Amino acid sequence: MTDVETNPIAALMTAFTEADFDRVPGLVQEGLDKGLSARVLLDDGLVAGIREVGEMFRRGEVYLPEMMLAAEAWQAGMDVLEPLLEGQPQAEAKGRVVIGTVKGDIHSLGKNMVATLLQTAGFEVIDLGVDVPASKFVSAAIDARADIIALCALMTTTMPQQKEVIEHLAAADRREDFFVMVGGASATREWATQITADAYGETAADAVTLAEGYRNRAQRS
Amino acid sequence: MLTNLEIYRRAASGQICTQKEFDLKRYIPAVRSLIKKYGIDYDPTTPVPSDDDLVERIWQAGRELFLQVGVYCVDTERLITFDEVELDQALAHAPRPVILGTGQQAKAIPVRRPESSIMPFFSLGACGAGVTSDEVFMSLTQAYCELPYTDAIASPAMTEVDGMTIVAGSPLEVEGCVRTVTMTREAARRANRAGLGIANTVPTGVKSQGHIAGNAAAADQGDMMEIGNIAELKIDFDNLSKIAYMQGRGRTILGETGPVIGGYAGGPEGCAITLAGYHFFALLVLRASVQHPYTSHYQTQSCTSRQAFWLTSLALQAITRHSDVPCLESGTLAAGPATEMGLLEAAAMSATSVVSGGSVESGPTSRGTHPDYLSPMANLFAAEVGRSVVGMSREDVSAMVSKLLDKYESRLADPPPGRRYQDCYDMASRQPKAEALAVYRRARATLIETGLQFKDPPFYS
Repeated sequence: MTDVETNPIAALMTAFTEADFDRVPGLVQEGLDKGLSARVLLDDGLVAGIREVGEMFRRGEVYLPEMMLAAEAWQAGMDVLEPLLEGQPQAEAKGRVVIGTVKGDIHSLGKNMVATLLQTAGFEVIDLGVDVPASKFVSAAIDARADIIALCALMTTTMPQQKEVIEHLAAADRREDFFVMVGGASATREWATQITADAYGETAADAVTLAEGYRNRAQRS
Repeated sequence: MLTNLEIYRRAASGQICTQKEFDLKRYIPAVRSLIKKYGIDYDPTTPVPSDDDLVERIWQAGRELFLQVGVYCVDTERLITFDEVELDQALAHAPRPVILGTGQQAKAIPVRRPESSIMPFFSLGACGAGVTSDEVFMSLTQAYCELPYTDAIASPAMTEVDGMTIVAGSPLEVEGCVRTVTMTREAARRANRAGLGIANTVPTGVKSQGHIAGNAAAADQGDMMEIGNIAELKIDFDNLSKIAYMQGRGRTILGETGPVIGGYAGGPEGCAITLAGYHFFALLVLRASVQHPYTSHYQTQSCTSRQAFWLTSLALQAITRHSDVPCLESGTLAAGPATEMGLLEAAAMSATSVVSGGSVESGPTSRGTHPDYLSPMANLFAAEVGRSVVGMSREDVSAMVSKLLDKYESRLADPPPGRRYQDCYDMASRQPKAEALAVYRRARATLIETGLQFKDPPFYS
């Protein structure tokens, strides 16, 4: 028998990497039945599996559907484990990100890619959706005690709303409290510099690298 | 055929569904299952496929996808669904022929099939890419209109009005939309092309009020408004409002439909199926008389990759074999103006479209994201190559496109930026400067090396 047939952790990894997502909750239960702890199944199975899918996305080996389905499978696996994890110390998220597409812009694809990739990388993501007013970014970030605000804009005529959010943060005297990342088809590094954003991500994978870089720097300081 | 109000009625009364359910429970599983059912498998060795059986399977899968999944209205959070008869009626009763322009500039967009010997229609221009000043707008647009093969103009977008940045949904957007149409018309007049059709009347606008204002103020019967999907098989009230306005005035709609490679549709197989299915979305929901199919990659934003050609060629062939509604295929180029890579991208895209049954809307350079990084040269080159491949076989064009891809595809992720219009063209004469001219000559020579025989002498001597 192969390792995948006998080892629930290996089987879980295979389910994630081969996009056999429907099997995930059953494999988690099987692992429990075989005596593995909920913590091991979470860390070495679900978390490792979804992070591997995130890495595959970064390498261009899978696409957004696999990422979204992997996130669903992760949640289905968590539904099995959660009652058993109650009372145990939870792994801390890498950071909390408030994300949305700015006011006037209804495009969701890039924003969803970044949000899903951040989740798979271990960030807690608060997705405000599309067409989000500047003030909502500010209040959501303050309420959630977020570390990072990620602003998406596809159109040249909606990019100014990224600047608007930064100005709203400054007006609320909270600009220094958040790491503000901007991205979208029309945004550029020059634009990010011009509006005093903290970072510009050309791709969804860039956004994760930038967020991780910020968290690492913040933890060191 | 169903009326646009019937579409609205369905949007208001259809089955309730969250957007997440639509993506995860309807659209994505349907695409994955249809790829398997119809045996669709991406083949990088043939950027322009000539397998008619595969083309037919793409068409059937696309049709089945549209029937199975329907369309999602994000404002009502309901499904708009259709039956077989309605799809057949949409094909049978679609509006045609489509004539753009008026008076001496009036020209029909021909119905073409794969490997057609009919000369394609060329809509040339900036296709909504931004410019920073009225001066650049006017000179650039006049230069596009002066190209000998321009059958319709695809306007640039303004980014400022009187020095103020245009913001979507603001009064400046409305003013910018009105100016865009007015100035495009004036540029055509200055080029002695008064009455030239505008293929995308108000690219400056995002919101319906801007589109409607621009069209009401200055567009006429010979122009089209471009209206698109907002994400895979999704529509909203704002776009339905644009459609209601255009339908009410009896005007022509260019239905923009573009799945993103790596997005909700997944890889090239899912995008090919989705793009074919989008023909019904264009006819029934967007009320389009012309479809504008395209794709781009989520990472490079490129429309000129091997994957992009494979899937757009298949979808175009599928659509044009089954429908008399013409397609203007287009996309942005990764490289900037006055670069040989940009011209080779334009050549490959135009050749792929023409041999696959489409006409050409030659798009902007620099991914359309850097204001002023535009030039008429890539559009001219797309037309020169597009005209020259008429009558060629898909196999021969595929071989030519492969050779062109070999020359530039490794640079798609980091393409040369080129130079702004005002840096590579003389703004007053609208002629390329010496360095840009040299690039054009080199690109012509490269195409000849690949075996292409140009039908026309070089426009820039």
